[in-house]
Amino acid sequence: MTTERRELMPAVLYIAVWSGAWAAQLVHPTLAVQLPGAPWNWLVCLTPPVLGLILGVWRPEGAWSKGLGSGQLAIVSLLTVAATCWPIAVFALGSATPGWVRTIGLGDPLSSLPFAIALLAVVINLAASLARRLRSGTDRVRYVILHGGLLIAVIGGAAGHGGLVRAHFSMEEGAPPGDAAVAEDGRLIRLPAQLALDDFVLDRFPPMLLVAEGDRVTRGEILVGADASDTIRGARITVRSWLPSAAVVAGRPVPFRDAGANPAAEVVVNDAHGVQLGAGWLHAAGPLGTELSVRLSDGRAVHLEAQRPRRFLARLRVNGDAVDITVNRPLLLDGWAIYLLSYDEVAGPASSMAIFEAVEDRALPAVYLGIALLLLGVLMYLWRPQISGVRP
Amino acid sequence: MSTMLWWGELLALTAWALALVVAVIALRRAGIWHTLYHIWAAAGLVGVAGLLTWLWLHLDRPPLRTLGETRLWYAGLTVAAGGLIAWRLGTISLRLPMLGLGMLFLTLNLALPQNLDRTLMPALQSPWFVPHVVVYLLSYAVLGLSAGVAAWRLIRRNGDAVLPLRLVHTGLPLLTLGLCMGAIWAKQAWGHYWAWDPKETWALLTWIAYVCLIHGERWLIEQPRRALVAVVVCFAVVLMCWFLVNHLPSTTVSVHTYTRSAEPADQPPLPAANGMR
Repeated sequence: MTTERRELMPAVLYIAVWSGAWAAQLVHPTLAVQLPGAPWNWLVCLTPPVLGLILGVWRPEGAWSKGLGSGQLAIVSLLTVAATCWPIAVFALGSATPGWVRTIGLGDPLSSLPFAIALLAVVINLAASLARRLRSGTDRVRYVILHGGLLIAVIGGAAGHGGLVRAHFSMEEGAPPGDAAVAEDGRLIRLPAQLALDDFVLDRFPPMLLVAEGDRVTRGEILVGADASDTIRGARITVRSWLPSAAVVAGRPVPFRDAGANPAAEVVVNDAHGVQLGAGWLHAAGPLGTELSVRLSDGRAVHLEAQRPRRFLARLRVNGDAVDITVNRPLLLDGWAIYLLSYDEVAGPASSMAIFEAVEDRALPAVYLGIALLLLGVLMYLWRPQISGVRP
Repeated sequence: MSTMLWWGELLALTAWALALVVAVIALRRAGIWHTLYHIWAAAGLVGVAGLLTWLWLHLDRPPLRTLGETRLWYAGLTVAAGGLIAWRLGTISLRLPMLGLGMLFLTLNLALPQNLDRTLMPALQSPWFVPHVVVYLLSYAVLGLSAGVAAWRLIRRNGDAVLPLRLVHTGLPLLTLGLCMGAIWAKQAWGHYWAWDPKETWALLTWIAYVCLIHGERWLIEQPRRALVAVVVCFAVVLMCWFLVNHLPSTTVSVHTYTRSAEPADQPPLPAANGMR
């Protein structure tokens, strides 16, 4: 066998193994591969790349080492990752999974045997190519930084997935402090601090106007307030009176200060020639009143749109200290990250409770290190791109 | 506001249409025509940059939320990146694809007028929002140019794949940069850097397609026609990830559907996404 053919052997062998794994999945569609919990997750995730690294360092010019770290195996292994995870991109998996996707063994692609084998091949390929390039080869620095970063990020991500703890808890405003949360597997988790909810705040944008014509609705472009006016599909809508917080009593809005109250606007609507098409009060339906809209003489109707959220904020007391959590700004607490997850959506802005998610991911530093190296390598390639087989 | 935007886009489109005409003339005649090309292309670019600045100031948020807003960015970035790369490589081969793509996206915006509003859901109020989306759009712009050049060369039966591949070597690092920024942002906002959301999975499929292309270019460069076809096919995956994903069944479970409440301008109102999961 020629050296070239021998170098192709790992890729050919891999395709055979992956096809076998898919065949096994077809025979047993419910077959699921799960990573063990910590610390075994690290052993499972580190062993294959370490073996790849050892092989690459030990015999960098050996046919198997070359084959396992080859571009061919990189392409084939990545394509098999794509071939197994594509149903997630196309279908709403779960109860809505089409029957034929289940039949071909991809009802739960991420737990499938072919996906696990594909990921394994990617990791071994990265490790072997990295080790070979470390020992010899040109363009070493940026290659090692980029591929090493990717390898660390993938291993960290996979191991982190196995050791991840995700727990939920809810708090009522004014309730005594607590540190208990329920993990996804039903275990009771103790958080590293006593937490209490002082206040939950839901800020909303002012509402916008809508003009309905049959089943076609056109949204305005301004945020409604006192003295606002907007032209929507030829209808000039001007706000005459504005109640920032109102309740609807006997079909008419009255000022009412409450976190759950919606605003109300008294509007006059004219056409392009100044002819009045209608006038009256607008109010979006809410806990403190039904919807009020204005029917125009040309058959259309003007509505006030429900307000959209501007900001979610939970004011917490953590071991006695005041801390705010918002979307995009979780609370970091001794290896845990605590996220504001939800609230009482029926009460809306008047919600006095908030639901939180606590996540402990001990592999996160490894993932971030990998991403940082990957980005550094990417920038180095961006600075001086080079096409294989073409002089720069 | 949207009327002013429409007229502004029409003016920029006109400038680029003139630049395109002049670029075609400049293929045969040198001298003043090259200068005129630069003037009209720059005028259109300044117009798009001005529109984006005006939108940013008037909407009081980055104009990157709706498909229409991203199309405007894409048009500008395609011409800006194309001009910069053409200058660095000393080529005129990018003129037609970059103006063609820029004009196509402006035409789409003129045909599908947008509803502009000032709201921005809480999940998008992050320092990562602008860099993540702009870097992604920049990568799409460069990769779009590579596909444009490749398609043009396939039509003209010009079997040289070096320029499209060189553009892929610029676009893929930017794509990787955008992907990583998105992962870091997702961790801050939702608690996981990778959730296998349909949009994220399409982003991964796009990345895999280009990584495979780069790893296979040693063989593809010897068969340039195949290389050109591969570049076009890879960009088709980008288009899936960017536009067509919104029409797949998977979009119902995606948390990346920020544009629903604003596009198109006329549609039954949908519940506004609240920015939490």
